[in-house]
Amino acid sequence: MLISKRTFIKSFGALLGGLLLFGCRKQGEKSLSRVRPVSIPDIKKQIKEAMKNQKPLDSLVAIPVPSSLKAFPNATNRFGMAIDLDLCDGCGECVLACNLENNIPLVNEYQASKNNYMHWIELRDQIPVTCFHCGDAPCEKVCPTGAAVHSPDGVSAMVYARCAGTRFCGVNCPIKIRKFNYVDALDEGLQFISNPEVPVREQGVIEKCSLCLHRIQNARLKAKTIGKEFLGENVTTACAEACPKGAILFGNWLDPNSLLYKKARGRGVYTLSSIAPFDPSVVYFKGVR
Amino acid sequence: MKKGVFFLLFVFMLALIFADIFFSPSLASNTKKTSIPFLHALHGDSIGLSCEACHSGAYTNREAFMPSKSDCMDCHRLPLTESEGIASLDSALKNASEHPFQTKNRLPAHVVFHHGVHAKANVSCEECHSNELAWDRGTPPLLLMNECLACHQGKRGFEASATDCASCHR
Repeated sequence: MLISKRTFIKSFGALLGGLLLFGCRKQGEKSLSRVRPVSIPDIKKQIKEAMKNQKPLDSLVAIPVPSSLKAFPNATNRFGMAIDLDLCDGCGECVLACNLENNIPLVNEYQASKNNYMHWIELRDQIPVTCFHCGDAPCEKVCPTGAAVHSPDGVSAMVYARCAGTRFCGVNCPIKIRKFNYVDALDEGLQFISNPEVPVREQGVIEKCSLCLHRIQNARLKAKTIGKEFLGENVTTACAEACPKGAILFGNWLDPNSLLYKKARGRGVYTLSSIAPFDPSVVYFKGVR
Repeated sequence: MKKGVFFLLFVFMLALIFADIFFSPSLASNTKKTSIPFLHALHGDSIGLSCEACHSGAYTNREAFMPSKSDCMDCHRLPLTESEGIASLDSALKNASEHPFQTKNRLPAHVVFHHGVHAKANVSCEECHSNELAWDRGTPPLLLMNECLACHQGKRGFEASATDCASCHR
């Protein structure tokens, strides 16, 4: 006998412990080199599928033009959008532009079969519906980690690093437009990365329209570097840029020189009935007032 | 018997320590070792150069860039001092690649930092990049968010600035 039972057990135990530790070592960050190519036709296909099974839409109700936020009465900016329903024909170009701008992943077949697409804008009865960036947002009130926050600029922002995935916000959203990231898109090869400005979200967070926050941030930093006050000039969202009918307008509700402010004059301003009590920043234009 | 248990525990602890050293992803340095030894102390205020002279964009751009070899050669094409090391520096420069100093941006993707805005607000480079010797060694210290926040909350002599999440996170 070469080694005693005791030594054998000891060394075997140590080896086992070592292997165990090796197994639970940190994997490090997922490298983007593992991303398998997702082509634009793949994205278009899922958008078409989503457009085939559109969810029902609440009725539209008239609201006043958005003004200062209650939480930030002294702010000079309140960014928002208006979707002109007289021009919109529900083509879905905005959804594609949004997907490409924000690196929105595809979903796997199981999620697709349950109609859980990641699209931040979705068409409901041929009308684009996205986060309305409510001034008095019900989603933000229930976030236990402080990941859903309102910026003084009027953007209902998500701090993805803080999101623990409780999904309370998604449940409390009257229109259920917040999307839970069920799938590890990087792992399953469903991630399409086209915009380095927008970080890729990890699995297990709630995603939503950010009002192209990265564009607002970049423009603001540029303006501040040259010492200008930033009122949202030269910024537009990806969906507004892509709309072939020019039906989506981005702007600053508090700036009288903003195109959005000017175009709101004399138009009927509407929102969904379930959203109306929460002071939305994104509204619909329809007809004349 | 008791001794054996302790021995196993000791081995286990040792294994933990080794596992931590060998398998944890290194945060310490993403700076590639360069073939050119460099001292910030010799190039900065002492000869009247601002940071932007080499790190273009430091006062206006989002990122401050690293100098290329031609930036070094702008001055070093002439023998600048009579010190003994100048010969080895010349040969190091001669053999260096076009971009001898390379560093990977360690700012996480969900954080926005704009050098220009901070320079505009009269925040000097040293306010965050004080430990220049660490940079010379290629082991720059990691900046953490509470250091950003201390300034932004007005605790370090600067005017309080934005502290809402969406100003700096995306």
